[in-house]
Amino acid sequence: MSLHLYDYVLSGNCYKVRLFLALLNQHCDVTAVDFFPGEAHLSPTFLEINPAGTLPVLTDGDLTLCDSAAILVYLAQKYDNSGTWHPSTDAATSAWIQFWLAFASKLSDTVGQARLHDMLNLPCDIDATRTAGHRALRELESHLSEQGFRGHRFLIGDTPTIADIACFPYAALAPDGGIEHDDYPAVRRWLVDIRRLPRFIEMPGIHRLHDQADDPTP
Amino acid sequence: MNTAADITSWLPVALSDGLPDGGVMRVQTAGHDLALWRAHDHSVHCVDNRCPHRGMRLSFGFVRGNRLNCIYHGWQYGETGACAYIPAHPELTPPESLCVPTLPCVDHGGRVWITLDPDATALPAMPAHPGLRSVAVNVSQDRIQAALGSGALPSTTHPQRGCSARVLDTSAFDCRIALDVATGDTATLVVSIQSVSAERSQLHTQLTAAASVELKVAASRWLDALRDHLEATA
Repeated sequence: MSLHLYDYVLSGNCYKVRLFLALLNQHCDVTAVDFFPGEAHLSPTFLEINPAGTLPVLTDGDLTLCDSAAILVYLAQKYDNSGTWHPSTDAATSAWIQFWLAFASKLSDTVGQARLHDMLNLPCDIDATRTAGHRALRELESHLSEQGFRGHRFLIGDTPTIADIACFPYAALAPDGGIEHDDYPAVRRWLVDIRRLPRFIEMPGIHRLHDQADDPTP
Repeated sequence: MNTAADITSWLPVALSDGLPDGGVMRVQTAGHDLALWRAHDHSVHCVDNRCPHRGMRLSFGFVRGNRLNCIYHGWQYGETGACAYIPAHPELTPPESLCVPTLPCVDHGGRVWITLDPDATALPAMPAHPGLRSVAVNVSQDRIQAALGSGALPSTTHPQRGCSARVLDTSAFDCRIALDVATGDTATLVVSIQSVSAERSQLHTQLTAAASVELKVAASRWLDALRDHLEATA
């Protein structure tokens, strides 16, 4: 039994899974799927694995999971020995995890959609999409400001959870879709705190923090 | 020559708490694109947001020690704006001509200020209240000042967090607003308005006294309502 991820490197949803696996220090085999321009996610072979033709897909033995939020929940419950990434200590905490997993979809549908428009020429009403993206980031900004008043760095409390992993990529990639971070200081602080986590990995458009270690000498 | 007008040439561009040691952020005002950064000796600096090497925004860069590093090729700039080190040419002492323009920048009264006027008079003493938050508003500075001057401020109605607000006074630098919270608590909010462009501004806000989490949340939600009110009536 081993974990297997069907992956596209530019997908924020795939990156959620790669990032969480890295943070858990959990090995996973990876198959790259040529989403663009090859549209390999719509090929008959891939549709046998996931009839919906979406990425990412994670398999673990006989289990096949086809949604990034579902994959994060599964990995946290099965592979996180610390039990901190998906705390289910009380009803309210469980509900808040669900809230932010749903909010992550709102980010994908707004700032993520604007990014697909700008990067891959996917058609959409770009002005309306960016306006909706800014509205979502304002919601995130207000919440993270209030978390700051409580001395909490992350979406739920002062330790990171899968809620942070689910919301991080598309919030971080917003400038790729013409949505700058300038208006969102609490969001910027939170993005830095996530990038500061031990074993953090990059994706194109999200680089690691360079202020901590020296670069290799020439 | 110091005139009264010089004093107001200082622009508040961030809360002191909003720019930690080693922090870099982008500031836009009056057509200027700037990078604001704080060295690890706690000093604040403001430079043109363009690396003279390849034009990369320096606000994408990072701070090591007391130098701002460009993200693209790692060129390092000290507090004078002069290039101090080029990683691809470690033996080279960069010529003086390699420098990025700087603006006067001070951390004062709990806020970070810049001025476009190199002869600006020093800012007067003002209390360094703790920062609450900076809020972006898609309305011009003039319209916000007019709205605050008219005294027609919004109220929030939540049974615990609801606030009614009134302007206490306005100075050349900020506006003080009294918040009466539904719980009976009161707070005084100091609002400094930064013009970003003809359509956009930032409100850098502070509370004059230590406050509970509940009181900060009430004030923060009221600021969201103020922003929505300003944008709806602009």
